[in-house]
Amino acid sequence: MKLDKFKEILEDFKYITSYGKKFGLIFIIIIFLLWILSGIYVIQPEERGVLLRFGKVIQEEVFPGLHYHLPWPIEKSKKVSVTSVRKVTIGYTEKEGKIIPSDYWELQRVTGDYNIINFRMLLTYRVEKPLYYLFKVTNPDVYVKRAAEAAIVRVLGGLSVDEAFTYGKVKIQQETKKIAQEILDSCLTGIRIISTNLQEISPPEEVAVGFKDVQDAKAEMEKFINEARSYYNVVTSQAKAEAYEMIKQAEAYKKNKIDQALGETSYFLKVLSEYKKNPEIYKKRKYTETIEELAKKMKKIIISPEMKEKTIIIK
Amino acid sequence: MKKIIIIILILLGIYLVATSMFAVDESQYVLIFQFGRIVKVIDKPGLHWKLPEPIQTKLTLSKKLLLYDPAGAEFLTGDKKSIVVNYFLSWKIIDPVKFFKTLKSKITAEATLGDIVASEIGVALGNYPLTAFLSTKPEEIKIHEVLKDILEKTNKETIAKYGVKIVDVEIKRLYFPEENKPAVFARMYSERERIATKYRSEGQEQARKIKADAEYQKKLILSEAYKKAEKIKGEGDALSLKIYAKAYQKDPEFYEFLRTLQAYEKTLGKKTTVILSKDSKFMELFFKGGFGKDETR
Repeated sequence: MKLDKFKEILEDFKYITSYGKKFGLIFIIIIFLLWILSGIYVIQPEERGVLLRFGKVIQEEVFPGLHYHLPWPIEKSKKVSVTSVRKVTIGYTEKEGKIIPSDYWELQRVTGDYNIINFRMLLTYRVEKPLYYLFKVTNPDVYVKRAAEAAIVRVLGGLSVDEAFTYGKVKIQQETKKIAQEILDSCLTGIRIISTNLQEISPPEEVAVGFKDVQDAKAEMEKFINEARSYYNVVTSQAKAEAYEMIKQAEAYKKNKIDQALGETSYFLKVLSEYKKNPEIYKKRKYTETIEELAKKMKKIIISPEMKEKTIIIK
Repeated sequence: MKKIIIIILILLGIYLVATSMFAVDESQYVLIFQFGRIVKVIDKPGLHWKLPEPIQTKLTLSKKLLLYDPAGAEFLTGDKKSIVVNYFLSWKIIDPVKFFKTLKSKITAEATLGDIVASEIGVALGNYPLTAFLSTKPEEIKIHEVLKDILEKTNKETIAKYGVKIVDVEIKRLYFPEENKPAVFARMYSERERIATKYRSEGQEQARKIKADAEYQKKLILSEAYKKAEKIKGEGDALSLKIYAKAYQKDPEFYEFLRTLQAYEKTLGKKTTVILSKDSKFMELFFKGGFGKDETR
């Protein structure tokens, strides 16, 4: 049966070749042309290519555009995106936009003062040197995570927990980026880290209450101090007001005294010039006027001179 | 019959070309074996030839950097503290013949390198206190030097023996042994308590100091003000006295006279009762009528 079928096909082939040798030739030429044309390739704007001839790199960086290489298996091109931002998450995974923290084994790290902390970081990177990325390292993307983790060990290992939770955050990001990049560079991964972003740095559940209490205590301390400061301000400004009052009163007193003196003396000097004209008359007149005025008001008891000695004056 | 021979010859030709011509990739080493013996090592990429199989066979090895990431292990530091270290190493084949003769495959290589590095890490950790890895004092941290040292020592062995170069050894994680964790958390907690207490007492201390300072400032301000006020008042008094003195010294006697009258005016009033003697100067005229005789007597 099978042999029959084979014979049939052979007959058909003979038929084609005998009746259309030219068609066969054209068919072969078309195949050949297609093979030649299969060397056309496009590098997208975000990509860079590497051109290989029998596995040997003959062009390290092929820039975006339409290109041609000799067809397979002579030459081939490898493409890699150099602008696309790739992500590595440390201490968590992201699934459909949801953050799932890893178990403590990956989530928790140790600070320089032997404190355990929860630590999550997002690292972004891109391929800078396609040649290195493609040919120098197996699994360069995994290397990024390892390098970052090694960097984190060194950075956190030099910080106290209080630093790490406060002003150390910027340092953690910068230093992690720097050290991880050094590791990646020394291993020729061709990768450039774009950013390191702390997603979480916090105390583990087991000791969270203690850390919260320190926060509260700090707030209390500040409250105490602020209250004392406002007390200080109230007391000193009251004292200043009082001081101002005292001085103003004293100044008023001074002014009053001087004015009084000036007033009285000017009166005296005026009268004196009158008096100088005729002292005796003036003196008498003045005396009488005064006594008169006074006597009007006063109660008077008149006694004889003999009684003078017998009078007791009660004050 | 003739056709069959031609077909056989063509197939044989294809076979010979296919097994003798080969491309070597940028990231590959190729070893050529002849009856099981290595006869050639190709480390240059491109198109290469060999005798067809089964006379010569080839084996491909990777030139790329490989990452080995074993599970962590517990170590003892120089100051007898246990710590779990997770390390990773990256390595590559630099002498494919040596590699093939000794380690043969990636799996055995990783196991061997892992053992060598782990024991070196053990030695290095034993020579340093924990503060060489975890410390808040930057000058104490020696992690970089330790790793460099391990790298140098291991490479001496692996390059000569296995044709393998370890490019990097890094610690990706330092952690406390599982059984120590409760103690670590307890210590952390008590440390937090201590800090909280410190903040609270410090707050009170500061507050009291500020309040004391407030009282001090208050007294300072008020006494200063009192001093100033008294000085001003004194100036007022002095100046007024000066003015008086300047004026009155023109005629002291007259001043005395006027002042006495003024004193009368001020001190004597409606509530004053005056007892007058008939022979007083004031009553003289009243009684004597200016005639020297007492009319009322």
